[in-house]
Amino acid sequence: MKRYSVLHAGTPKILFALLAAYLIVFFLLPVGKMLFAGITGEDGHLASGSIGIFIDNPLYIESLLNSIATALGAALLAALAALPIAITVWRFGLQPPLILELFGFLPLFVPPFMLSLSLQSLLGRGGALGMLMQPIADLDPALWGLPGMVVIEAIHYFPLVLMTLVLNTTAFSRQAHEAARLGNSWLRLITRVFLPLGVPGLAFGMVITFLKTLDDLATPLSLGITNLIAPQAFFRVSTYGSQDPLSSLMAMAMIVLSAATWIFSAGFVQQGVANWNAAPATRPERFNSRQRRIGVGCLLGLSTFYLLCYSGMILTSVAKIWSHTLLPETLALSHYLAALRNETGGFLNTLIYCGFAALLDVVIGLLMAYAIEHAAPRWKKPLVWGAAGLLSVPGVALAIAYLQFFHGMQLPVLGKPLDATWFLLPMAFSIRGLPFAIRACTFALQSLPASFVEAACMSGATRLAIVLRIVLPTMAFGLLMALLICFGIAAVDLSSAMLLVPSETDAPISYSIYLHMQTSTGRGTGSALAVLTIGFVALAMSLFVLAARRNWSPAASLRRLMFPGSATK
Amino acid sequence: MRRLLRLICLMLILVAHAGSWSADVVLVASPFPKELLSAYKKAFDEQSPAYRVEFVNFPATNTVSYLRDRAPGSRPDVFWGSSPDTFRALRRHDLLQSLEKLGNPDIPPVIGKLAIDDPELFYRGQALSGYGIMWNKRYLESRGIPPPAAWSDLAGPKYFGHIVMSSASRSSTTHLIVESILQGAGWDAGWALILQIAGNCATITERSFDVPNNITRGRFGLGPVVDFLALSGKYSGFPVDFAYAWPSIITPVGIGLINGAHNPEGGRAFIAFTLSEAGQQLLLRPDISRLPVLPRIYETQGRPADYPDLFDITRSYLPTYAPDVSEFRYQMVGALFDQLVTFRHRELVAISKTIHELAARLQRTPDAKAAALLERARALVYRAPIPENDELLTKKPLKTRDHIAAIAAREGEWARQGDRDLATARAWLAQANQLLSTRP
Repeated sequence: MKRYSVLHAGTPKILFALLAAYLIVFFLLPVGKMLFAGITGEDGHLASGSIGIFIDNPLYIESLLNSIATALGAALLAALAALPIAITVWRFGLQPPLILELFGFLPLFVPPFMLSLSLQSLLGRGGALGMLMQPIADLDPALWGLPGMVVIEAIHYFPLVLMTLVLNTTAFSRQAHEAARLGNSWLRLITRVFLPLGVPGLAFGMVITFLKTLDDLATPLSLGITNLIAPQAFFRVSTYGSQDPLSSLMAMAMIVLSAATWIFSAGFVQQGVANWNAAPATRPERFNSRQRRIGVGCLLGLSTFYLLCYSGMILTSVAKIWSHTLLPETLALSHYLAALRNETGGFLNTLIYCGFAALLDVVIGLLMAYAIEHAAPRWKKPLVWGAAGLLSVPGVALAIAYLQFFHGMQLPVLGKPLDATWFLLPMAFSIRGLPFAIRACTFALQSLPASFVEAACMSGATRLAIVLRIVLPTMAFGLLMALLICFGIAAVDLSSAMLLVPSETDAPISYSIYLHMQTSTGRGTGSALAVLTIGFVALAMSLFVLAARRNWSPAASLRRLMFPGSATK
Repeated sequence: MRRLLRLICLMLILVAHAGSWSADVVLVASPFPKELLSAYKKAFDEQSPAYRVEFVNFPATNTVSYLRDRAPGSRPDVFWGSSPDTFRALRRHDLLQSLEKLGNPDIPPVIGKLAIDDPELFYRGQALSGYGIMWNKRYLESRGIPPPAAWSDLAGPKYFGHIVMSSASRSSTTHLIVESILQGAGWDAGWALILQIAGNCATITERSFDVPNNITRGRFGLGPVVDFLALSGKYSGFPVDFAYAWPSIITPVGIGLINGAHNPEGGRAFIAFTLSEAGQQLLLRPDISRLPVLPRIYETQGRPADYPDLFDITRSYLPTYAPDVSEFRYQMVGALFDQLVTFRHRELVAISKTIHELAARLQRTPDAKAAALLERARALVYRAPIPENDELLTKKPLKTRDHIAAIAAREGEWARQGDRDLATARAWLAQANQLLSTRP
């Protein structure tokens, strides 16, 4: 049978060559060179010297172990907190509305150091709860050490773990009720049905928490914790420059650790049996009053907790003078005005870098999704998992690899060194956002009805007309979604931004917030910026859900998008 | 669909726009806080519509490597910072252009004993910075702690857990304070004092500005800062105060034109503006609070009543500070500080607590043997890992991979030695405590 295609016969080859070039120049070569720099001496010969130095220094071994322990601790704690709530949701057949499901992905779009800074205002000795408790206990987060970081990361990523867990289990909630009515005890159902169903979601949420915690730079630094592998690499690069062989080794250690985690967890994530498309069908018609009470209770409890956690930041953003008193002495909105007046540059930079990264991601994601779709069946699975495996490239490691690889390279037209421009920033962001882009684009590609294209081809429509009238309109929503996801992921990627930002005026908003949190006269402007940013992300998500409801009926399957374990068809 | 296209168009326009901006930009590299930079940006942009100022902000400790990595003609135009060491390093690497006659003739070349400008006019003094201790009045009062007067006061047990300080490798302010203590008190005694102060710290912050920030908020009680950060907090209405502590140090804030600047004319215009009366007047703004070098400014209206006096401050200048010595070992002092303090802070705090407690116990029940053990433990915990004449501190640092690896190997030695020392000291302290407990 003849296959009709929108593309010229030769076009895919050119596009895939470009795609390969992108992956080679912006991923494989930098990482390869970094590995090479870590294990060779000045003259290029293999030398195990730096590895010996790394292993011999108790500080580095301690940092590596601390990193593993913190990341693992955060993932476990988040899972432990999420399990009882997910069981409650499952047991009572609650179905969270789409907007709440999306809010579960909010941790991916908000940097966790904001929580750490908020808790410092809330529990520090300078005011609020921390000051109230001073006579009994010193709650200051600076004294918590590693456990503090574990708690903060766990609180931050808890919604994600909860949501992936809930999404994986709700599908069979109705069947479980039927089974319970037949005489199976709930305990038995939880161990025999809920847990096996939930494992892929739980594993995915936990692995994201692990990888993000391992890679986090701003949170430990804001807590004064330096004995972790990411801050150690950061300190080495800032003291000795990008040519330091030990920072290469640390970055490699992070990559290996992340990849190992990803491979280990892939087995669990893959086990997903939930039928995502069927999920909305099992939605109960109406909640009874008991279900409603429990649902509202869960929601109220969680939102109160998060509001409390972020109240430190909200209070700081409206406080004019707040110094060693329970509550601010004077309140003012001046910080918001200052943030809006002085930080338009930061917002604009974010729009430029993240927009650029997101556009690139969508184009490359589409290509890769197309390649995966059309790959030989035995290659499909390795490709899907390999693309998702890009998730395990830590931002710190990627930034160090870029600094080493592009060191001394001149831009041909502007005559500027490459690492003095903001160009590397969106490139790093695009690599980091790629796994999500591929998912979203695969999704968009599948919404393209092949029969329409074939029909148009047969009736003699031009390629341009097909692309403009059929391909783009049907895929628009999916592509827009991909664009927004990549944009959001790039906007919070501080780990690579902190190393790659060439100047403060070139900083994206999340880095501006980090800097503003450390100006001399308090954290007002930084807090105001942070509140504005979180508000903006939440608003964007809500608007998006509204748009999805109106334009696109199977909106509920949006949720499949973020989750690489689920079947795409 | 149309929305998607519109969004893409908007983004493309923005990206294109970003490229066209760089025409008349004056790029100023400076570790100063945003308040100061944005005030100067606003005033200068208004005064000189032909130029637009942009800032590169990074710790002054990285300036030389940052500039050397960039080809001449593409470097920032102006460096503006308070660390004399950085200017010396820039001069040594030939990264500054002579300013010749550019400047304000009303600014005296010498104030008190302090030379304001570079003798060869490669940079000009733009303001003065003094270093001292800032404290939160409410925090100290509520805990009954008196404010300190000298650096050595900070080593006392009453300040344990109330001090906040930054790292010498990340903050040029802290670096300057550490170096001035090392030079004022001598290498070994200096490190002993620094380690004792660090042992009393609640936390070591990543950025300089987080020190005054934590003190103005009353999260921690006191810490070493540069004067203007404390004064800007004080004049913005926070209950904080500041004192120049002995051995004190005053440095001129320098401003210079970078060799290989992208836009040297614009750079000159910006330097001239900062030295003019309008530029000097800006320093008195409450959120900036720096000491101008133009004496006339101190007579103008609008200066807070207890604003420091130019003459008083320059009189207390410590003349023994040798920027040459500091510059040579700049990177290594930062690296030593990180190895001894930043990366070992929790252990250092824990053992300092034990030492303070044992000392208090010995005061109640004197015991010669236990006191001797305590002294030995103190000497071991608060000692410099290498002597002042170590080749790492006296040889010019090379930025090659092998050299960095060699330094890393030495750092590993210090880390192992540090772990052993702490373990020994812990054993001695436990022994001393045991002696006191078993006394009849």
